[in-house]
Amino acid sequence: MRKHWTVVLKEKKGAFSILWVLLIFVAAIAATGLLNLIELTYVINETQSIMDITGESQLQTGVNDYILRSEVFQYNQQTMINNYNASLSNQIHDNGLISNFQVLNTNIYQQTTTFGLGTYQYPRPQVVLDSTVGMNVSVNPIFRIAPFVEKTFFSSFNNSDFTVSMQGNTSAGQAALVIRSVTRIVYR
Amino acid sequence: MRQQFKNTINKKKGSLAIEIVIGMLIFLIALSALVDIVAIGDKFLAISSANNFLARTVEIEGGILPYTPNGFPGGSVYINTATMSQDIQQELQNAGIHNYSVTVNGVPLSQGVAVNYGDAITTTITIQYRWDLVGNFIPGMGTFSLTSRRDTLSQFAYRFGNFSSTTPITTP
Repeated sequence: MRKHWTVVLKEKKGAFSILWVLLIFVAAIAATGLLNLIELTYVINETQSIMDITGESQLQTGVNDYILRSEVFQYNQQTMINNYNASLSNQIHDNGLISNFQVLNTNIYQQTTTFGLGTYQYPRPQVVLDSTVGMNVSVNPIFRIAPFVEKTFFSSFNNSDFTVSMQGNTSAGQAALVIRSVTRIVYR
Repeated sequence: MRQQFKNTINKKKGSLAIEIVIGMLIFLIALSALVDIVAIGDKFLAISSANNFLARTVEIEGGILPYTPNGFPGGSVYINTATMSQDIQQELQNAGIHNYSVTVNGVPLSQGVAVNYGDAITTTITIQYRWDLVGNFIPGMGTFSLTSRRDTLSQFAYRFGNFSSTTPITTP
């Protein structure tokens, strides 16, 4: 075998073909990798946007409008979480690209503070929804991108770190993604 | 012609040239795919961004109408159907998207739709795109479709008149 290659390379027969095959192979892998990158970026953008908009609207569903007329800000935390999770599941389907979608972490807490209110000086009641979702995204089987993800995020409201982890599909061609969204409603 | 080609192959004269042409063709297709992927990525970002803007706007405005509804806070800041259509068109066309459709609760954006406080709104943008460069080498690649969807709730209460302050609101 080695002798055969030595002869081939010395005679330079087919040497050019090997270069072409290598070049095309590298170009094909680069194109596939770039396509996967575009798809992953799209999934991240869409999911992040869906989480932001859903969080904002579903927080509103837990607020007691009746009591709010008397200027009492009261809300039902479980209603918010249930509606939020249901709406997310409706929008982010397990399909050909996304599989194993799961809400990893949903925290809702209330604060009365001036945090994030700009120049407004008076503390206002606000409800914050901090959630993280995880999912597997199909990529080309030649790639194996992080089937297990452990990510540490910083919560500026609590001034502390928290960690979420996701054990995705360990087979080749699956990338695990963890996406976080923080939304809030402020009673002014 | 056929005999001449046969002789050429047998004598192996010019076989390198054929090899180069075939190799170059495949390499060009791969290179075109790279360029197409970047352009398609731009389209994906544009549809995501446009639908995000649309969903946020219809959420705040309680749908979208050709005119500013009575009692809308801010009045002139209201984004109507014409302005929204123009904004979306500009964003999508900048990314090279010319065939698309936009709906709010299944109704085309240009018609407009009013959704009262707390009711569900679904916005969709569907685009048609092609692999422009690769399509020149591989015939019949056709057109691909991509749909972006957002679900939200209306946050604007319309003044329909005859509002009774004793109307009970369902407690959550």
